[in-house]
Amino acid sequence: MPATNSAAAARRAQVDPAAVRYALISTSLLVVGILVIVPLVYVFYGALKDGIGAYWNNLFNDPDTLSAILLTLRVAPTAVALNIVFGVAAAWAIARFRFPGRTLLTSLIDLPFAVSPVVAGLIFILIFGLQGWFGEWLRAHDLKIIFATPGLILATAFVTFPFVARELIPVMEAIGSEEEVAAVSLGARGWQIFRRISLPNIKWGLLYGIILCNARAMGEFGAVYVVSGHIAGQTDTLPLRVEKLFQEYNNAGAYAAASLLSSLALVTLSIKTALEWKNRREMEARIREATQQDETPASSSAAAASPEAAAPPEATVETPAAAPAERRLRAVPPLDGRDESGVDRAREDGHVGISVRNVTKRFGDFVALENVSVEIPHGELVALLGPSGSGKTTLLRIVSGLETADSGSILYEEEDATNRSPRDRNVGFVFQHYALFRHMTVFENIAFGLRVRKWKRADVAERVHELLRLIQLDGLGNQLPSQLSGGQRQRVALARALAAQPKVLLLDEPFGALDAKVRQELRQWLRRLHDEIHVTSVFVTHDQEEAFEVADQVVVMNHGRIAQVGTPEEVFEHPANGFVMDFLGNVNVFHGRVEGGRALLQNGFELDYPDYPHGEAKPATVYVRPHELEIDRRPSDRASLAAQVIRINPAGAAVKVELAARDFGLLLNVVLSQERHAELGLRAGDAVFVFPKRARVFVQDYTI
Amino acid sequence: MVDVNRRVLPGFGLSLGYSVFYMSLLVLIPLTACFLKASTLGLDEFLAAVWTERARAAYGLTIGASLAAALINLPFGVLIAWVLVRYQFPGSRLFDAIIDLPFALPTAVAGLVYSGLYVKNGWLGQYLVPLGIQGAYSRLAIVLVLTFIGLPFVVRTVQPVLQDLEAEVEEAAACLGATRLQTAWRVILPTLLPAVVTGFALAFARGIGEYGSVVFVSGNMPYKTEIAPVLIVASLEAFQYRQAAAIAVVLLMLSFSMLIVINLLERWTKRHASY
Repeated sequence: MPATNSAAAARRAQVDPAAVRYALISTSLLVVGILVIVPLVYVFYGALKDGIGAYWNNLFNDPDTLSAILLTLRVAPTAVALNIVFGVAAAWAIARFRFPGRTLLTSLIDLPFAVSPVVAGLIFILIFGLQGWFGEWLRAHDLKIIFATPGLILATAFVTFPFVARELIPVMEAIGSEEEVAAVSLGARGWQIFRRISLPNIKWGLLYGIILCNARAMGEFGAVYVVSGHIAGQTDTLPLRVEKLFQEYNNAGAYAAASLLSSLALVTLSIKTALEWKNRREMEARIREATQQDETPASSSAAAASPEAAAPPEATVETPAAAPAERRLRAVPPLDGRDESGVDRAREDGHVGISVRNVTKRFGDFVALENVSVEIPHGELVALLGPSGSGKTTLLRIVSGLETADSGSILYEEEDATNRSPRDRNVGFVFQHYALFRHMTVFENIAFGLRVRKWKRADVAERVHELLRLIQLDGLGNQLPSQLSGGQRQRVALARALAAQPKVLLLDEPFGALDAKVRQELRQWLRRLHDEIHVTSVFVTHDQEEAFEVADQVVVMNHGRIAQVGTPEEVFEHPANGFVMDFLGNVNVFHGRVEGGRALLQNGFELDYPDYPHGEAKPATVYVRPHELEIDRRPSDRASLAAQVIRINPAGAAVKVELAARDFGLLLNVVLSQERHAELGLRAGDAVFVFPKRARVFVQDYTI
Repeated sequence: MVDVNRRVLPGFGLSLGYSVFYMSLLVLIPLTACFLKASTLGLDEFLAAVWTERARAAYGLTIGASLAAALINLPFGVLIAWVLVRYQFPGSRLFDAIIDLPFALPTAVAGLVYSGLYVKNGWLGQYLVPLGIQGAYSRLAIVLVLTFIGLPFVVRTVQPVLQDLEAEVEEAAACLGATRLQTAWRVILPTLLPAVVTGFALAFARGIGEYGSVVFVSGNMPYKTEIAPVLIVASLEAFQYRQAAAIAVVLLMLSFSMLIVINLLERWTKRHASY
């Protein structure tokens, strides 16, 4: 393995070196240039080399060529029209209904693609020709099919038969029938359903099929050649005319006619490409829309700890009712780029697994990570928790080497790994969608990392079996990934990542693609597994419950910065700021200001806030969790607010009460114990008073 | 869902009935006619018609040239698909669009131009003919024009599979310690294999039936540059309809077996492309 510790080597996972890229691009350009582009240019060169005047003469002053153009314009659209009717009918039957023989019918549609055009022409001669089945009868009635326009239409229709149906069937299957069924339920009938619902949905697919069908119809040669009889001025279509001129050594005329057909091909390609680009743009717009909706929670008001935030952004306010002495934890902003709690813990053990130092990463204008520093203690299982767009996956990928940071460094066990490729970092990476190699068995998937590291055959087998036992998939080594359930696949992915005994295990939303029950089981299993193998592990999640259940430590991220680092208990009980408070579970939010050691909310609702003794008023937000609110029927001398009970949900271990505090114009959520609920005997509509047992005040200026 | 649809949505009988009717009239009955016509020859006559020395030479050339063209398209098709999916360069979208030209360009035009380009005084022939490379009116000419005709097949079957191949799979290989070449050889190529083989089979099948372009470039010399479809036309022009039908049956059998193979391959591709 070449030890090229350059940034380029680290990026090689995604991008090939420039030299390889240019070599491949120029080779393919050369091939396509010689095979396609030179001939295309040559058509127009051959047509125009004697000047525009000669070109015009060749096309429109040659009566046979002119009549060939007109004949083509009659034959092709007729054949296309016939095939459109068939294509729509066949697509409706095949994409909307299940019936015996459906698969056979679908395969038969492709039949004309496999038949040589010459054979296609021949079969119509065998039926309608002079010696054919209907030959005598046709002659008796003075009808002509072969060597006449109807024969040309039949042959063309045969050859272009599959195009429309083949384009429409997958389009209609992809759209599904929900909208049509809905239309039926709204009273639409037969043709109306098709015209108003189906047709608008499939119109681009239909158009696509029609232009392909038309291009082939106008250019068809072999089938038409056999049935035409070559009567100049009567049964020569444009391609046949090209051949005749070529045989007569009239190259100028042949190239002029060919240039018309080539223009048709170019128009067809342009329409096709335009339709594809349109589809792609629509798809991209849909994806953009989806990600924007996804990212809105990330833009909630609270901000992460940042170098600019000079004062402690957090304070716990005890109301007189609550016990006063609670341990305070302050997430000191990473002045030197480190987070206090994470560093302390790591140093206690004297062993840091992974250090991230002042890492910044931008994607265009978007700042994915801004001066992030964190230390992952050796042998611990750490969760990166945050809303989508908070930078947690980017951080994980930078740690793995799949992505490179714009600035900053990554250390593994105190060694600088910033410029090492993922291959040289010896990390195990588990992808959200497994990324198993589909063509390899479970055994081969797990063995892959060992084989590319040239392990001995016997050692590979031993290690893989050991891992199969570890992930409890003994005996499934010969299965393909497609034969496994989602949970099993994820365990295989984990075993594959662990096979080469990585220093670090990284997991990107490892349970994201699984259903709730499997996710629950796999979480507990991962926790137990980690207790056994103790490899330094980092996993990304947006699910706080998952983070709390599995991780030793949680790193909460927001807007590309670290909002807080701590044990699950620390971050839940002592959130460093409003964002963490808000992100980790339900919370009631009040707005107001702080002034002279008091927090003043609307309508005289007041709390002590000794952490802000200054006289100058500042806007502040007060957060109270539902279980930290108390309900009483009488106002107390403590701060309390009048509210009305809206709804009571007594199911579960605790009773959830929803109230409207009209003075504040907001809804409150309160959680009561069953005993307290019984004691109060609340009913919807009751007027009550609510007061906080405990609240957290965040001064907004301090946190932004 | 199946029965619900048939009860809920209208038009099942009409659409299926019309489809089967039209298909029978245009495709199935005429093809049957071809078999029936050929069967009016006795077995000996049939063999005498389809197994002459001239016919054998034509089959050999048709299959050989199609195979050669499809083989040429195999590496180039994969290469072009790779370049289209993986690299952005100025004009890459135009490049993508132009790949379909052989689908859209009438075969007669392709034949006309290829014969013009490779003759002694043609744009390419003036350099090749002095080297002894006869790119027109030769077997090589047939291979060349069939390569043009078949170019989009491998590209267009491989391209979507390559597009859907998650970057994650390659990243996983890199994380597990594979070099770029190891990844390409052991992970990417096996994944593409069904699509590559399908594209190859499609290009091959297309080459076997091709007529329009080949008649322009081959010179149609019996035993040398005459392909099987040309033989059918020759029989027709001699009013030997039954002999023509017999050779057509041989070609049809070949096409049908290709169609079945391609269908199976496509199923394989689909199964391979998803978990």
